Amino acid sequence: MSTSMLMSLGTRAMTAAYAQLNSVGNNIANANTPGYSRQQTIQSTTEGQFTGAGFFGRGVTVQTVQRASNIFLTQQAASARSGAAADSARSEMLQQLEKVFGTGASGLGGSATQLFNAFADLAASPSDLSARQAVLARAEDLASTARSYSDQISMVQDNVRNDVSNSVSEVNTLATQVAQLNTRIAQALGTGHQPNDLLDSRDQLIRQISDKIEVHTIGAADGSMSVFVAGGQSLVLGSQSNQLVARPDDFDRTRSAVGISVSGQVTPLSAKDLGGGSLSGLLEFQNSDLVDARNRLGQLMAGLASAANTQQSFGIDLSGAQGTDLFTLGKSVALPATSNASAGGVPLATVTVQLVDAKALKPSEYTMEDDPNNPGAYRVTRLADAPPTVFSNVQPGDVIDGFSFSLGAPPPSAGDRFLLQPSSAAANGMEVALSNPRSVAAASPLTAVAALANTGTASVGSLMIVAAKTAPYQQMTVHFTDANGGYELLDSGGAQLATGTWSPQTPIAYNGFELRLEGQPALDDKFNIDLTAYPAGNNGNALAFDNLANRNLVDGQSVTDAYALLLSDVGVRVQGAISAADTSSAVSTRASEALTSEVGVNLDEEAAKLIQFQQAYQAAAKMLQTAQTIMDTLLQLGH
Amino acid sequence: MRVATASRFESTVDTLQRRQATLSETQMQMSSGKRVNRPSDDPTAAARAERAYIAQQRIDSQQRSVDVSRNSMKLAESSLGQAGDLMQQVRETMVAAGDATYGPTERAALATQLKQLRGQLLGLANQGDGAGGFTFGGQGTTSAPFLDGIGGVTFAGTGGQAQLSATEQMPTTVDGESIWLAARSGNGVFVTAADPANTGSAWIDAGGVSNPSALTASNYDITFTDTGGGVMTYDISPGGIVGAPYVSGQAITVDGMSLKITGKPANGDHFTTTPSTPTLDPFKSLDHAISVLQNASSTRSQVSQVVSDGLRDVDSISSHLQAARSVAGAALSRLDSIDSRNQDKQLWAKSVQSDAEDLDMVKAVSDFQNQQTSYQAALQSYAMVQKMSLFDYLK
Repeated sequence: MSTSMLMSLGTRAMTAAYAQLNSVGNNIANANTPGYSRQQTIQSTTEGQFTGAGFFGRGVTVQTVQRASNIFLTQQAASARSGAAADSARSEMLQQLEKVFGTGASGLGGSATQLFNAFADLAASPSDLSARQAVLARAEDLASTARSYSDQISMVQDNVRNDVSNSVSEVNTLATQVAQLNTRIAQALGTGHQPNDLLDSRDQLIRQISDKIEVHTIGAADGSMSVFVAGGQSLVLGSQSNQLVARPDDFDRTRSAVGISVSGQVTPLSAKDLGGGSLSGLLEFQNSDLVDARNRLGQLMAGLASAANTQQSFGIDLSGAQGTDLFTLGKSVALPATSNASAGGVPLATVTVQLVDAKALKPSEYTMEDDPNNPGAYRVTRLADAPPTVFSNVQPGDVIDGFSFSLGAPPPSAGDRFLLQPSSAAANGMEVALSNPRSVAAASPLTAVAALANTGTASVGSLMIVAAKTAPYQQMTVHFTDANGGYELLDSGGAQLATGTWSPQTPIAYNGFELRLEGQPALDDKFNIDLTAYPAGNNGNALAFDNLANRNLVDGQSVTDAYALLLSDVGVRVQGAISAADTSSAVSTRASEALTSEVGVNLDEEAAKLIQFQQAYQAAAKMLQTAQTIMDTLLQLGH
Repeated sequence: MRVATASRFESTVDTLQRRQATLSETQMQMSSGKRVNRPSDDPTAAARAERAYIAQQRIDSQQRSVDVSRNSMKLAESSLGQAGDLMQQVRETMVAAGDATYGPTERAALATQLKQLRGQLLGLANQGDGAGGFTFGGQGTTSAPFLDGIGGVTFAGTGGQAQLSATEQMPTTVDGESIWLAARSGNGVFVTAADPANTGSAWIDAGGVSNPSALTASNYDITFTDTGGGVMTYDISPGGIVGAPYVSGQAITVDGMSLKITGKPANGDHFTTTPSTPTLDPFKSLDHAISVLQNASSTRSQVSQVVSDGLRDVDSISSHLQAARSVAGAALSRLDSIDSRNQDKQLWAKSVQSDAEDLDMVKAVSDFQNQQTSYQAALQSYAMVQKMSLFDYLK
């Protein structure tokens, strides 16, 4: 045993303590650096030296610097982040969407009611041009509210598109960086030591990717880490990275879709394929919530505007002419898929969608394709249902949910697919078609008058046009042929047109009109039905307009109920999304707390270590001092 | 368990922010007074509030219609009341014209008075409703509904009533044609008349119904025959009465009708009864009376007959107008009940809306204080905990 042994022990101990202090210092310095993992200097005992008196320790060796890590917790935290990011992206978008739909006086329901009320006011003074002007102003108000809702929905759609394309390029940048880091890490591992900071950076990058899309990671023996999207496609494979692509939806060019490009081949990725992350939340919002909102709005406006137009056609305006359309609606469309047979980028086949019965419309879009089981027929799928409802063996012209489609020339090729949007654009293009207040068809074309000689108590309750006429209107007389409501309908020449039995529940109906009586008609009582002589003084059709407020114009619901349903539907989605976002963010927080409690820096701990290694350093220094003293003692012996 | 210092800071700040958000949410609810500011606050309540709001708007609209209808009916009711007063004046004038001591001059003066009353009645019938329409305009006219022409007054419009609701009876006009131009003629069951070619001085009264079940709705003709010696007999056909002796002023009864002929009929004089029709109008009746009264050559019996016919018509018309007035009155009371029903519905809709979306202020204030306290506690504990560090003790 030489005296230098103690000196060497002391030096090693000092070096080790200094290395430890270094690590502690680095931990303290990076305590607040995102993604930093606590580092630790690993020291071990140097193998002892054999002497005749046994093994004498040779002190301490600094082996390496290690970072705290836990692959399981890291992956769990990343996946929890993905979930939280998806929920929060959807919830933020839904809250934007929610602001579109106003309530009360500022809402669409309020605007529609104001229009109905304007008709009630018009009924009180049908010749008053200012009352007619008020009707047109209310109609314009309604149409512009609908348009503005539709515009705001489009703006939300634009936001989604921007966010999707930004997120996609962000993921691509991050993926490229991960691939680069993989190369550097593999190289660094060749030195035999872990490149802690590179590993931290890579974990941090993967964490950032997880914010956008959910990914799974698999480490390789060379230290590189491959990253796969939830659907299984590889995003990063060793030092190679693939690119996500944001592109327009197959059918609807205004919507975004995401795909992954692997060696030039683009595979589409659905929200489900993406699993989580804000991209998945955005796509989910776009393809379900936003589409539903637009369709519901379109369904509502199509139902209301079509009913108003029909009612206009039942009435006559101030000059006695049959009413013309009050509103024009955005057209129903059929969008061809990009994969459809085309020439020079223009799809060969076109399909046209016609509204047949607006009040039967459902708030949905439909796909249309060949029916594999019925050659020559088509299969139409209602997408809003879960699972989607399939209509098989559909021929052009068949009415589904209030619309039908027809084929252009040439007809669709085999494999062509179309997206049918019967009501999506209805609100978008809603305009008031009338500009002249005199054109509001406030008057009913027919007027019923009880004959003066009637002996019964019946008076005219109302005469309403409920369907389009099948023959020109003419002068008619209802003649009661018994005291129990039996009647015959005679034309002006006395020829019998129809017979029937009246009761308070069964009005006298013929050629599209319904005559309701109040009281009890007696035998031989007559009611004369004549063309309205004074359209300016008649309010029959204005009353019918007013009554539209109570009629089921939207898939079995009144306009008010349909709008209230729309509000509560959006409200429920927002509420659900917010609570899902809260839950998943709590889960994510917990997962990341679990991770940081393992890999994070606790300053008190570092302070304690600081003292510990300071003391170790001091002790080692003391050893050196002792060694020196011993040396001095030995040297003095020589004197 | 190790707590990473950075995450401890983060999570405390996160908690503080969340508490602040809750606090400001409660504060917003308190300042707006509403618990539901967005549909997502409570989707069901938001939908209920929306429906209740729309219901209020609809009730407001119906209430406006009720008010319009009520104004029209009030106007109609008061016009018909005035018409009744005018008819009373007509009656008094008619009675005066029957005064046997009056000569042609007095009668001419009375005729002028009747002319004036007729003008006033026509004015009432053509009364505007103040909004460009006519109270008695029925289901539509272009101008004043009653036109005074050569053949009398005609109705230029569509009969019936204009309504303000398809479901409730809320009229804005009344049926002028049936009110003004369709009183029951005669006594309401049959019309008595003297043949204008009569030469005698007898006149017939309006008659009455003595036995409703015996009425036949036929036209009757009463023919007088001078059997000589000043004895008059009469035949009634149909009715099978032949050669009945005539006594002036004695009731003649046939098939449930009872009528009196007074005065001296001449041989071959005719009187007729025809079933009553809804064709009587005050203007035609007055025109007839005026023409006889202002004619200086009218005979005593012609005057008596016109006075008798006139009084009969005035009574029929007055009761007809009275009936129309009570119909307007009934409409008013119906409108009152719709009105009060609307008030109830309005109140109900308001309370539904309020229950759905309004804030319980007491609860909100107490919640707010709780949240404030816990926010303060969080702030204090944060300040205290973050102060503690081992570094503070390293000297």
